[in-house]
Amino acid sequence: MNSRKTLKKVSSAQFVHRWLMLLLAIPIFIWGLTGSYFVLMDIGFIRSDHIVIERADKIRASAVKYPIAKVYQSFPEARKITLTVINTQLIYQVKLTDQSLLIDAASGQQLAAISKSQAEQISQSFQHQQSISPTAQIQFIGLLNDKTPLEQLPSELAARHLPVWRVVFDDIGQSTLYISAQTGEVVTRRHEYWRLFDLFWKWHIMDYDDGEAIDNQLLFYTAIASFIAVFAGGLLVWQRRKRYS
Amino acid sequence: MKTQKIKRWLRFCHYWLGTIVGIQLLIWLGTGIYFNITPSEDLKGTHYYRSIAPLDLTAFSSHDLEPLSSILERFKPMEQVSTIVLINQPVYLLDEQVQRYQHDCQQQVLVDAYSGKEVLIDADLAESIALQSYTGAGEIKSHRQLSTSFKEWPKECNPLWQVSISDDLNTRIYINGINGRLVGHKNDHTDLADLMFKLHFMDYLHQGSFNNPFSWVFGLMMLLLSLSGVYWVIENLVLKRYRFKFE
Repeated sequence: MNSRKTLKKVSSAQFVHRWLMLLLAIPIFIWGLTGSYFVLMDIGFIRSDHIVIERADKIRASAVKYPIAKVYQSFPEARKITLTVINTQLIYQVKLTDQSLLIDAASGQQLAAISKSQAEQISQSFQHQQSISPTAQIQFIGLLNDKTPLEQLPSELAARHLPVWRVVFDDIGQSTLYISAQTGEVVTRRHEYWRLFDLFWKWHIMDYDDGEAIDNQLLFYTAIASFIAVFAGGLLVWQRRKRYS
Repeated sequence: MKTQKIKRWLRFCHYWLGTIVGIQLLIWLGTGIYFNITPSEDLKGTHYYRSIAPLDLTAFSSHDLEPLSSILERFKPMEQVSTIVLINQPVYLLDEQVQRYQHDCQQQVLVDAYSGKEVLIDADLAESIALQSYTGAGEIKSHRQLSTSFKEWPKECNPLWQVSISDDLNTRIYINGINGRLVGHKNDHTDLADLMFKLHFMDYLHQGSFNNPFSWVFGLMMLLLSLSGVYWVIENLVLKRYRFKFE
């Protein structure tokens, strides 16, 4: 008799909801908090779509004096060649299998890697109204390359982009541009709201190491248990309709 | 007593927030479990997908490349030109205004790098590009040119070619009508996955985004529901209500 009573008690919606929520209230709250952050913060702002170059220069056809065919002949293993303007200079970006380099499109000379002052100039072209504030100052600028110790490489930068200039502004979001030292392109960027988004994403999918595995066991069991606990809560809503109406 | 009043009010809130958010909360958890247990190739439709191979350098004759200076003169001023590969042929992609995302409205022109002639993505070319990306056993059933509001690509701004394949998954391959880029594959798996995403993101107005008024309101209500729940758990702990007795 007693065991039947106990069984009846533990299978009641009230018991299931109360006891499961002892463990699950915090994870469910974290889902609510992180999910609300995701939906309330515009994803375009988070991915800093507003941080764009103020005015991109157009290519003057007559300035392309060195033919692309010659670039291919010098670098037959090139996977992709892009003609573009960087800091008012017309250049070919040559992507090889494991690195990239720059060729002057007027003279055909191979250019040195992007210098600190060039990187600074490129980052300043991203400063204007609606983008990184024109009044923001560059707080830090430093080169990251394959000699940089692993623990000093920020996790927000993929190692395949190296070598890269890291340019940090002192604006409210600590906006950071990562400029490839080989091509002058902005390969990645971040600001504090994006970093928070990345952190919240790890919490949301309960992957506390690298934040990429949605298919982890912790998430699975927590979500299954939460489904049962919430379902029990739903039954309670019905059972207690008179108490709260 | 004042605290008694607050406690009663919190329970009232928890009850009614639970009533309103309950169903959506079960949807969030259910679809979340679905994402957790579904292989990523089902979510992304990559079952029969392969990325397009880079230029085959053995068949490439760089001597015959048309110089860019003469090509650029014929068009509006461009910001960028890059070499891409379409069906193993080198092609110049002229970009009037470089966009951040592939789904943004592209202002691009394709030019055959050997002949200097403009390349248009016609049905034949779209079909060939589609087949290059396809590893399954099916064959092309039909093709269709789509110009606006794509059910399967809500954010896409460019005209698309849809190439349908007769296979076990009803694969549809989408090609950008402006630059020939492979947009992606859709199939029976992604039909389910896209529905699940729509439910999880509360994207009931089909905007392709989770930044929508439904999510704002329900997200905040969910936050309050869970906060009042956390309070209730703490109250139960403080009042030592978590005691289990065998009766």
